[in-house]
Amino acid sequence: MTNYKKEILDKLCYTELVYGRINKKLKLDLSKDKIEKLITTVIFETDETDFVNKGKNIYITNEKRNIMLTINSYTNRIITADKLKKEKTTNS
Amino acid sequence: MKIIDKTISTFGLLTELSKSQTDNFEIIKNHWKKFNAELKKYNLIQNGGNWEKYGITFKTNETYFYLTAVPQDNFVFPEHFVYKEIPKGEYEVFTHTGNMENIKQTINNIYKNILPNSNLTIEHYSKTGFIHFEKYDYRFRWDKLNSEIDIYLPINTNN
Repeated sequence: MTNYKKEILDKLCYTELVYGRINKKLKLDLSKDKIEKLITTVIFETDETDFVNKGKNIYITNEKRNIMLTINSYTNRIITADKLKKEKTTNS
Repeated sequence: MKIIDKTISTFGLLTELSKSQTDNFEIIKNHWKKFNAELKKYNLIQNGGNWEKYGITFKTNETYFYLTAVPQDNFVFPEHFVYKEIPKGEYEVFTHTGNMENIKQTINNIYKNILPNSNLTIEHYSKTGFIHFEKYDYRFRWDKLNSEIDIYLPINTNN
């Protein structure tokens, strides 16, 4: 069985545009450094059984952190991040 | 007694406590300020009158810690926020009323007077992951006379 976690942690890369996309999708306002730390933490904490390879992408689902990452399996480039559950309330 | 029927997932920030209750009051007060600023900075503000926050006291290797936390509540938290669960189960709930400076007396009263004279057995912290926690909600008014917070102690129901 492929060890997706190790390979992704070793080779994960980012484009300039993806930082803004991740902040927008997660409704955060993190620096590039903080985003990279968050993504690495999510990947590290997620059980390998929650890594799903489908087509060209690997989907990493972490229920505890309420996040799903989409990573290109060929380039190990993060494509986006989504909340699993959307907020019921608006921030005030 | 109150039953928490579903485990509460929280994320928060941790601080180490000292052996002095007087010092701990200042440590905790400052930590709440820092925590609230972080919630604002990262846009993790709960809406309106339904907000809930937790102050969780726990012990690891003879060192006491205090975690200021909010329910996971569909947010995504930055990596430096610590995850902690409040397990479902039965809890004895005590309400502290009034100025927070007097919470030390309330907690002392619980542990030194009320519990020793009751039939309650408190669950050991190694089972629950914490000693007790405070729940803050819309009733909390910091230093006002009518301010209220609840202090939850986990009950051992196996006896």
